Amino acid sequence: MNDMERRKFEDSFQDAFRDAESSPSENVWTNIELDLEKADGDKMKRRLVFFKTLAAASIVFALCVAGIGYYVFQRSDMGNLAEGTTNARVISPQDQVKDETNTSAERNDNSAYAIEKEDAKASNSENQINKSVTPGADDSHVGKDELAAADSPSKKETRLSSSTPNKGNNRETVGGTIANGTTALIAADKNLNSTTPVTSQNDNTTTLNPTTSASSSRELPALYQPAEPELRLPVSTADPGMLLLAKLADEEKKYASKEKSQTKNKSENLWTSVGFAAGGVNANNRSVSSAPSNAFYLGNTASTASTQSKASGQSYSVGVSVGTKLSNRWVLQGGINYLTQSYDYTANSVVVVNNNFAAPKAASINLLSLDATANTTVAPTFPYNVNNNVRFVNVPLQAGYLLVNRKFGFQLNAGVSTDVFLQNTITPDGGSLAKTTQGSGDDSPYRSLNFSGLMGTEFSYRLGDRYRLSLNPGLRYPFSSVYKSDTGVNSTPLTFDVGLRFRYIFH
Amino acid sequence: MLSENELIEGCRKGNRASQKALYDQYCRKMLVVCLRYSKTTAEGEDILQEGFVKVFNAIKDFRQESKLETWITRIMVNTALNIQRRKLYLYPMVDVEELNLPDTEVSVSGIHFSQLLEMIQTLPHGCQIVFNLFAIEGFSHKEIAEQLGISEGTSKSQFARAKSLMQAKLVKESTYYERYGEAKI
Repeated sequence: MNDMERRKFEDSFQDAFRDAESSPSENVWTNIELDLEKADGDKMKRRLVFFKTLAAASIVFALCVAGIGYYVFQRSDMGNLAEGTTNARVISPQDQVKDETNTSAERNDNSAYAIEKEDAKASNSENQINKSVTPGADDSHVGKDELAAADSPSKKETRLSSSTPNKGNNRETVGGTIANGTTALIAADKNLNSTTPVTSQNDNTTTLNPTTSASSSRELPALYQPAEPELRLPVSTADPGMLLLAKLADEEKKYASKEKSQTKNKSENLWTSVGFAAGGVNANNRSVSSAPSNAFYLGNTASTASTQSKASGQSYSVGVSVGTKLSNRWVLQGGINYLTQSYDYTANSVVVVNNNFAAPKAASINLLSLDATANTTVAPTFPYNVNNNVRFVNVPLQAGYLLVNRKFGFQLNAGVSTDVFLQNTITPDGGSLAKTTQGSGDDSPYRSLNFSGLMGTEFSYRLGDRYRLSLNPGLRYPFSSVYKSDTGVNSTPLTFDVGLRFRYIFH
Repeated sequence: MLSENELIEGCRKGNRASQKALYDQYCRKMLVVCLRYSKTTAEGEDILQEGFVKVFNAIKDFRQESKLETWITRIMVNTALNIQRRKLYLYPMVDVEELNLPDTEVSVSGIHFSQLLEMIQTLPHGCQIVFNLFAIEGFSHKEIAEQLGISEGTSKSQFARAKSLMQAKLVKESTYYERYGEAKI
């Protein structure tokens, strides 16, 4: 047999099998399908492990961000206080006052401390000021010796300086106990128009504010072990009979109906949620512009308005929301929240409105909105802490994009919030000054209606068919100043908070 | 009816209907390929099943540089070889003596492929594989030796034995045909 014949022999086999076909049994495809389903299940398992890891990493990341944010707010708050706290240096016209001041300064070790380095310079300048503002007033003259004497023995001291000209019977001395039990003198002029501006040298008293501590308890969503799909494969497919085929068909039917009902239960098209959030507020962008014609403002531009507008604090909110799915990836969420923001700042004066000396008020921006013709008298005091609690009702509207939409969800949110101002409450520390609450309106320095931009993320975990627990770190930034423009104070505090929401899904 | 490109695209996306359509289109041809490398129909269907699962998993890497049928056939042959290699490990392929070939010219024309298939399935393991690879798939002995991890000489001797056995069967078959006047189908 030669090569040609051999080749012919092989080619004849190739030709014989070229178009050969034979039908396989039905169960081959069923088994292939089951193999593919099993492979998909394995993929799901791998994805689940990945998402679990991603969820854990996200929570750790959110906690880190929250921690860093809290740390930054805390530092910023401390910095503001160090920068903004004023040293009340007032030269008393009366020895009695000086004695009382020194005595009380010694009693209040926690209130202030003098900066030694500036003493010499300050005393010189104060001397000059005294000379210029107390012409011919023997009883109000305080010399260097007295200042030096006041400086040296006490570690912390406050010198009260009142450069009020002596007008004889027109001047009244009101003594009262204010914050920290300090006795202060309120030098008031009966005739407002002739009241000489109080010269308060706002120098360098630094107080540490121990009350600026935020406490926010956060609960983390627990990671549950999800039910993993279980596929049961036929033990052997070597020689499948009708029984096996029937069984497979039945199982397939059951699986299909189960999958259909599961798909229905897993849909999330409409939901409602309740939740709360806690975080910090940082007055990162504030300014005090030219003063309006207001007696309080003129006297305290550099102190109270600035200090209060720089204050940082804590933010808490509770609320309900509803959400709906616009498409596979896009969602729309809205709701209503009650937001309270608490700021602490240090004031160094009290204000008597309309000669009501029995109830002096703590200095605050609220007084900036008083009518320019109002009868106000300001007296410098020792620095004392004031808490300003501001309350809003928010109506947020946010669009969200679902980056991960599984049992674990990850979503980016952005939107706007309509902020309706309710009231603010000024609470001076110590209890000797009355707490004042002011609602919205013409008298309030706060805008009744403001708009804020919202941005945040949402890490969520589905619990069963109807519930989802989510963690929402987010930022809030007002588009315009929270204060009215006529107050001359501009502040757009940045809020960072972390919310925990519990969602109920409608089917 | 979906075009081949649509089928491929559907399979790449994991679309079950596309996978079923692809299977329906090629399962009959591929079963014959699988049967050539197996001893029983059940064994051939096992290879077919395993092969198609590989096809669906690997189709995303199919670059369409060859015909889809050729690519699927190649996967089926590789799957069959993987299964047969396990057997070859148990029964190693060795050089065999070439049988005396009959002088008469043997032709397969007029014989149904199912008869030829039966003949191939009755060949010893090693001979069956080498015969398929050389005579039907068209591989050279060098390529077969590399694929199966045997020497080229072993491949040649296995093929020679397979061929002589096949010729003997064909002679027997043709004698039967001459005697009874029709093919035994």
